[in-house]
Amino acid sequence: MFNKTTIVTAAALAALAFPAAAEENLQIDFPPESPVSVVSMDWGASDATPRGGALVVDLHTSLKLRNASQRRIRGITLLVLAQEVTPGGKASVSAPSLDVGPGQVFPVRIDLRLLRPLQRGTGPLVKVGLDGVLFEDLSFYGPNRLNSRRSMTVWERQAQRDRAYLKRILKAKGAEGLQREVLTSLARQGERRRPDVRVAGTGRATNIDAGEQYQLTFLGFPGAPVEAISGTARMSGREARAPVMEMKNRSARPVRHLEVGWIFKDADGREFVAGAVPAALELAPGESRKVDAGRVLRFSRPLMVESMSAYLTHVEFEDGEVWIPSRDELASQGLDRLAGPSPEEQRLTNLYRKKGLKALIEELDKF
Amino acid sequence: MKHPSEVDLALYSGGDLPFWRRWKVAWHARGCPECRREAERFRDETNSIAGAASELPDDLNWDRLAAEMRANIRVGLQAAECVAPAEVPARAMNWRVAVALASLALVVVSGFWLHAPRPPDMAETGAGVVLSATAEGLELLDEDRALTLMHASSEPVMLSVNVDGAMAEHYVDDETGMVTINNVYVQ
Repeated sequence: MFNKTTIVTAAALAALAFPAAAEENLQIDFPPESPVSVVSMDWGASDATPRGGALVVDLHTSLKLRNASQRRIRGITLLVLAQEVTPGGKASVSAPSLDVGPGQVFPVRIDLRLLRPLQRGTGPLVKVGLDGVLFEDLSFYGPNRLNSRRSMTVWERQAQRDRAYLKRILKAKGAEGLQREVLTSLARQGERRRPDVRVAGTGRATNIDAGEQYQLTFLGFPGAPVEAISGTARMSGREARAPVMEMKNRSARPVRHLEVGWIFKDADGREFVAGAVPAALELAPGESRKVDAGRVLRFSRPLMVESMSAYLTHVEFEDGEVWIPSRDELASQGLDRLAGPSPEEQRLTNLYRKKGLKALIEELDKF
Repeated sequence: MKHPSEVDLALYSGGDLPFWRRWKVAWHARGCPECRREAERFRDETNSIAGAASELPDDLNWDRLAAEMRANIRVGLQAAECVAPAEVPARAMNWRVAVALASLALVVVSGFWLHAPRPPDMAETGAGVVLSATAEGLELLDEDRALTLMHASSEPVMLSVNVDGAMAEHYVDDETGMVTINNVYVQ
């Protein structure tokens, strides 16, 4: 039971461990030549609560950033570091699907909860920096420590693809056809199965080689610059070892990175995307290479897997250009219902849900 | 006139009847010469047997006599076992009770198995840092420290997992209507 002394002590420790001004716990550090600048910070309901021998710090901030460049911004990624709390990890907050003109102000929201011992360290708990900004012409600014250039380029290419797709629907089938398409997308988003997975620091398996081996079925796309020749993966109880694949570059351009979506079909015949398997590799035109991430996914409960399949989600060429599958290619393999919606598809369907069909059509007309 | 039985007369002659029955037999024998003679005859025989018993033979072997007595006692005990009523077998347990007990045992064993401490599994070994998706957001847990990047959305949140050690949540911010992607990386 708590008595007065305990409560007063905990409050005193909390006061020592958490400064009265919440902003002292968060440091924004953008380079001087950054194309975005901080206009203001809203701290909302940030607070600190002692819990046993630990302190729970809730940081809710909305940053107002200004586009200080002369180009339109399509996306931004902020790097979030809390080294005192999690020395082994980092985080980022990205805002894709933007259309911010020069001089315009836009918000980026960061909601963090930190749990740490009561003993206070020195300096701010959280440091927020700029990892990258993507412009309308797909040029990039930033240290790119999290490879946000590639991620934001993929999201922007997906945004262009999905807007063009919805415009085609609107043109071919009218507003009613567009509405049906959006409702179908919303239904798919609601039904999409979340992979019940944890990722460990090492990510390495101990006894996975004793598990069952699965031959991967590749869902190929005719226009893909890379094709999978073969692939196997292992599964043992709750652990699934990332596939070992033989990939061939069939394009005329060198490839430096690719990513494969890994699909599981369980004993009930339900399919879901368990994870993405990235591979950084130098793949010259016509060259084949084995891809082995050597990592493991761990599910929260044993999974009865009937079969596994895979598909190419994107390919990055040596010059930074990105290939993604088209909507028709995804639909031809039934991946329109399995693969999650792009960030832009999420934004547009949410716009329809909140503001209606007219607002969606007006938004599509802007691009 | 009703006469006492021979047994009562024999016991009366030896002084072994209880008080009330002894008084009744004595009252009857006082007025009945036949029963009085019968009682005296029993008393005389008792006295003669007692006299004969006091004169033991010279060659009596007490050890042999004791051995014979022990042997007779054993024979008697074994004979008693032979004629004892058969042991009633234990009644078979009702099947419903058996099923109930088995189910209870299964529950107890399962509960113990599920809650028994066991060696940490793969996700908790090694680096000790574990990344998982909770209802509030993406949580990076490192023993007594944790970082949770929360999502501010009441709409479906799309989760994607990267086998290289990262998770991402895509959601549309309720306030701004902007799509936001939270990423957490474990090293």
